[in-house]
Amino acid sequence: MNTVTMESPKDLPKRKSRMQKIVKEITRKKVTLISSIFIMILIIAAIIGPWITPYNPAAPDYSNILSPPSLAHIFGTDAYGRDIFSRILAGTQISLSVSVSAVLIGAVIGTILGLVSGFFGKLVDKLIMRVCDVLFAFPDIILAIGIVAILGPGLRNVVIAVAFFSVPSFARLVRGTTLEVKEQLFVESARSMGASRRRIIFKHIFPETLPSIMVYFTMSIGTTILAAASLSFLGLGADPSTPDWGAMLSTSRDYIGSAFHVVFFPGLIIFLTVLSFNVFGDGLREILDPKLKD
Amino acid sequence: MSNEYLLEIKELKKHFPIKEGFMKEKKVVKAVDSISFNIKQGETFGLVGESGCGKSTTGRLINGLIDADSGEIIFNNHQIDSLSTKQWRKVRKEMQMVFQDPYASLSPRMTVKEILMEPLNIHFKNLNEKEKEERVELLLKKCGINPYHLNKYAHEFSGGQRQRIGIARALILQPQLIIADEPVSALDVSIQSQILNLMKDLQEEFNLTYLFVSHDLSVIEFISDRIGVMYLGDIVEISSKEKIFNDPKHPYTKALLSAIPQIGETSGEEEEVSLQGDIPSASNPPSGCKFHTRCPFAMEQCKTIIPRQRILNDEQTVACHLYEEGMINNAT
Amino acid sequence: MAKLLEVNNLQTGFKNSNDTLKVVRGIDFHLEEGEILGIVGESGSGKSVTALSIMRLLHDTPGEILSGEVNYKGTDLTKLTEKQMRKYRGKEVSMIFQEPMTTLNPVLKIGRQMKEVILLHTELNRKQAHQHAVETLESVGIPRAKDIMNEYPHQLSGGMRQRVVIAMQISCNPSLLIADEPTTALDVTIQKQILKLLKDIQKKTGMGIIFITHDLGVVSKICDRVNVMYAGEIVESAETRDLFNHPKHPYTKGLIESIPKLGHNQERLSSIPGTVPNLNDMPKGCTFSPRCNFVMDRCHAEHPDFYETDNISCRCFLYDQIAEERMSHV
Repeated sequence: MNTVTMESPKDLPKRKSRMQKIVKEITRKKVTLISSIFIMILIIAAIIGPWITPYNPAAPDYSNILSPPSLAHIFGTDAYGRDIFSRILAGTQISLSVSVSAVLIGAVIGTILGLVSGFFGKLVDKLIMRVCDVLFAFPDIILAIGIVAILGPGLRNVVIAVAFFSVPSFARLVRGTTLEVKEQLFVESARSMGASRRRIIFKHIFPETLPSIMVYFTMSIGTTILAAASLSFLGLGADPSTPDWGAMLSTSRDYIGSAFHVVFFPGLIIFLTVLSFNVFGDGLREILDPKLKD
Repeated sequence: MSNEYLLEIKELKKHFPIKEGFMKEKKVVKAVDSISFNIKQGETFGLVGESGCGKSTTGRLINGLIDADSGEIIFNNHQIDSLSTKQWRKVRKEMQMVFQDPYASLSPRMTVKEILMEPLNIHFKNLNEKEKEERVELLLKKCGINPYHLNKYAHEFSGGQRQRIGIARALILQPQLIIADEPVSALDVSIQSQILNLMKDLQEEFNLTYLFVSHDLSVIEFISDRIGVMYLGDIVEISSKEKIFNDPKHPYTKALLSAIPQIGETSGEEEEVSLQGDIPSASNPPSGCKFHTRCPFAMEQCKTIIPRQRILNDEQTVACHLYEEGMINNAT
Repeated sequence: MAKLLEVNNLQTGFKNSNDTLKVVRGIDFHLEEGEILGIVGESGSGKSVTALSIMRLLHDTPGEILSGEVNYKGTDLTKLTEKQMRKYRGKEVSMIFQEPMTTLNPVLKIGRQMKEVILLHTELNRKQAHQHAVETLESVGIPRAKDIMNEYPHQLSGGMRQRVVIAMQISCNPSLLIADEPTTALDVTIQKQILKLLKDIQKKTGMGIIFITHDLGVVSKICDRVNVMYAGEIVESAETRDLFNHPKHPYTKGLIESIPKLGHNQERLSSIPGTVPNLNDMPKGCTFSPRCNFVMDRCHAEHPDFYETDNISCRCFLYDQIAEERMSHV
């Protein structure tokens, strides 16, 4: 009997791709599904928005100042007679790209710092974590205001500021997972094969941290949209003429008593966007985080 | 260069510090307390002992997963504990590990193919993709996994199949030495025997040398040529497979043998060596011979004097005062 | 001897959203007073779920008893309310788990936990309960039992903890003790002590013990009778000596042969090919047929019944003499 028993293909459960599973899970819970549909619409709007606006979002129309919602202007017009719906549609691109790029920068830097900190430990870890602690001590928005104040107003600097304050959260999150994964047997087995530290960090530990990064990333987008809007509202972000959601709120706040729709619709869209990113992130966590499941 | 030993371990030692509360004195767990043994090319050396005896730590020390406090590890005539990282990586190619838990030792986010390709990507960068793939498929077949499953994730396999994958991964670099740390302990008996047979077959085919660590003496006895028995960080007896069962020397080995419940034996418990009491803690081991607190033959000197390894004959080495000069007659 | 426990056609399953996975698929067995019955099987054979079903402790799992009876001294335990059942647990039927810490509360002193059980089920007052606890601890071979009463579980070694659990479970003199892999987490030298202890207790008190394990060696040392389980069914049942001398079922045979035996100098081990079937994909006919070396056409189609041969009852068509005779007539 020198033959090795061969396992037949039948012995294994049928394979389902990971992506299919996630999509199925998302559709199972209603709020997650609704928020994901809303996010999908936002993304489409961000991509094709500027081309499908019913009116030119920048062109003033002085014959139509502050007109309430009507069939011609479903969200009404602002103090310069610009169509608010068109401006919101065009602004989706700005708001989403500002927040996504800010969170992306923050996530990349934070993840690298967290991996390094968690993996190497000791002095490196202490150094990185103490710096993070200092940054944590400031409220996010104050930190951002400070940075924009130094760098000067503008959307690019808003991105930098928002990215800056999201770094420590990502670093801490990733460090935690890294510490946990580092001790696991499959990491040790990679070491026993002679894998280099770089390979262990990026091939073995990083994929394990990815789910929690994705969840936090989604939720951060909501927060960041709010932060970017706040900065614009304070006049530290977008130029008042650009159709940025925060800037729209800022320029129209004087009319809140006479024409509520100028403030209401941009506000509503910010609210819904932040809400759906948070709800979606929550749903995503339930799906991706096995610890929460049991 | 004429050395019959593939691996030589000389007075290897590892103590783990433990913190015990605030202001208390620092304690150490003497996980491995100055052990020495050799493994010949092509043989299987079994390390057996109960939990906390340091057998797994020994395997990890040799593989360099943990650094030793002192002692020498000589592999292939290289003293590997003094190598630079780069040289070490080259040596490591010749020395691979199989782990106990087939569920935790394979990355959950990699397919079987990725798992098996990884060692090749590290050590055989000059091979092209196709050559690597061929090698992966060949080894999977040898280990009893249909290459049809290449793109599946490890968690889709049963425990026995995963351990086959683990073995295939260890073999893919064509190492000389495999350190197997309790490779069958997590498996059911019917699967355990499949894996043990597989390991024997592969040893023959690839001329492998095994360091096989297990708590199960019957598994160790089946697979090993020579066996080292560990107790609280010491090797108390090294013996050939034949002698360990027919003529065990150390009282602990005898007790271990008699404690294994064997099928069909009617128990003549009266004659057997039955151990009283618990295994002492490795952070506070007994003085002298560490086994004296449970040893039915303990003498006065056992409490104070640490017994040295004595070579009894070609096949047996034992650390016990019963076999010191002049005591041999009393013992037998 | 009277029957202490009789299990009839017990089926236990785990329900998920769409369907029910049967883990225990209709088993019958009985336990006589003062007997040690072994239930042996590999992981996934349903042996632990059987124990939990008898104890009605399935509520921590998504499992539930689907049908069948568990008659303990004439009472069907499956019909009792949870409140009534609580009176049985600990007093009449006790259970020891593989991991002693599943029974012991890590933040309470051992004495308090022991006394709690005793006060719950007996008429003793606090002082008497304390005395009884100390005596029970001493009876399971715990040195300095009085001191141990004031210690926490984590201060003890694994073997000692298991002794404490045994003391706790026998403190109210139950008639039935279910031990689920009680020695699997222990080292062999300690295992030997615990096995001896269980045997001694059984002799002294005359209680019935159901001993669940995957280790055939342990079974052969401690049990009077053995049931072998495979894929949620009992496939073979016999007195220990008969079973190990002349195992009948191909699974039992394979299992015994696949264990390395000391001092036999085996070149190879015989092994059972393949793996245990999946719960949601059970083979038709005999559940062992895909792995069986003696498989016949009939095994794939029909589900075998129990057949008696040499004092062994065995769920395998190889021992269906009536069919054989019929075949020879044809």
